[in-house]
Amino acid sequence: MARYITPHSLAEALQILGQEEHCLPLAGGTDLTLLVRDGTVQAECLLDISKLPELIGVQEEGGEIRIGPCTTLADVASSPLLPAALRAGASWIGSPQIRALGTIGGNICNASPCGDTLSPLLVLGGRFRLRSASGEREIPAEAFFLGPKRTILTRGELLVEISLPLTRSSSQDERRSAFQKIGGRGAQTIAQVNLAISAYWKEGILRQPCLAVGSAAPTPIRIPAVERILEGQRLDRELIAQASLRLAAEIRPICDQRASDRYRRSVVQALFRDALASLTGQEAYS
Amino acid sequence: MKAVPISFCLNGHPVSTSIDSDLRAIDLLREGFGLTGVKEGCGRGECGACTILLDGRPVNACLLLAAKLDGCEVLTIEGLASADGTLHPLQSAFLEVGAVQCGFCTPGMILAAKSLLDTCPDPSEEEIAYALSGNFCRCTGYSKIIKAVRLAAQEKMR
Repeated sequence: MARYITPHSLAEALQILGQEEHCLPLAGGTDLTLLVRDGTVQAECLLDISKLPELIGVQEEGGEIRIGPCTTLADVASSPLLPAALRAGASWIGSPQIRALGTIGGNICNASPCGDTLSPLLVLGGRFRLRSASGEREIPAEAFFLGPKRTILTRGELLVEISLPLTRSSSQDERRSAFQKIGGRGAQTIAQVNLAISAYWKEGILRQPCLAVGSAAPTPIRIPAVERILEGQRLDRELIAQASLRLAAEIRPICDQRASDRYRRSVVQALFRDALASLTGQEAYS
Repeated sequence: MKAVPISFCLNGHPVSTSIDSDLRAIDLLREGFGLTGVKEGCGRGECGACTILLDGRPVNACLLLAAKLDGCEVLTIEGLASADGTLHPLQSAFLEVGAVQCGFCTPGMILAAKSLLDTCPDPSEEEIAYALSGNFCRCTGYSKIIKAVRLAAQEKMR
């Protein structure tokens, strides 16, 4: 049976993580508890980092928003400092019970292609700070995910901060964002597809749009081909139709127990139109 | 030897024990403390029957390692009524409206609803449905449950 260690500081946690051979960081445990108990994941030591104050909270600092990875999904969903797409993504994960325990860092490090905070982090310019006892690096969110359940984290390394650039200033319009998801039911569901978009929106034109889709490839992915179609163009029915078709062609969905690849290619277009409507404050784009 | 010593506040009383690191909170509460109002439905965090309040927030006791209870305040359905047996307004409202059929989901429903009313004393139907979206009922069809939570909110505000 694994030893259970509750470190008193981040420094102590990193030291233990560096020394122990098979040590698993444990945050909310809403996924890991089941996996450890049924033997899918084996660990000699569980390192409970969920109560370390250094890893909890949302703050605006130095021109960016910093999110502690052990901030619960419930707190991410209700934080007024965070952009709409990220709050919406967090609020659609699981149930109130799951969101009260589960953390944003857990959602990230799980690296499931369907994680609902991942596509938002990709379109919001998210960056991850990874630290070990011997050093630190910061990487863009996109570079973190290698495949289903696989990340670039190396042994002894811990995600210690998530940062988003602040996008508003007095001279600039605010970057808007939106998130859409579809699953087998309304609540308590795993995404068959999720989608996040962010852009500046003025006088019917999108500027610097970023679009990302989850559950449509081995990792959450940006869709630059569609971003190029939208950039600087008047957002009318024709442009949306052209962009939707390109989006369906760009994703690489699999056919699994949750949905077929054909369904995913079809429904992603509806999610895209709904996200555009939400971002631009329109009722709907047909 | 049980490896992890923990102390927490259980239904208003301080308790201490030692547990295995992979023990779930639901097993400790049911088998260690005899609190069988914590129901096991799916055992996978989907049905909400095992909902308890951890520092006032609803969580699934089946997804929670018991080691995580250390230092926390835990409320199960057994701790909801007053010491003299007076029911909590939610318990009374569930009885009055008939929001209970087989009763298996009821403890979880009531605790999830308590957490809602503690932070949002006058919730809309939509807010109630959202707060109970992690609790499944296979008998009532939910309408009476939502009605009971509305009634409890009104009673509490009087």
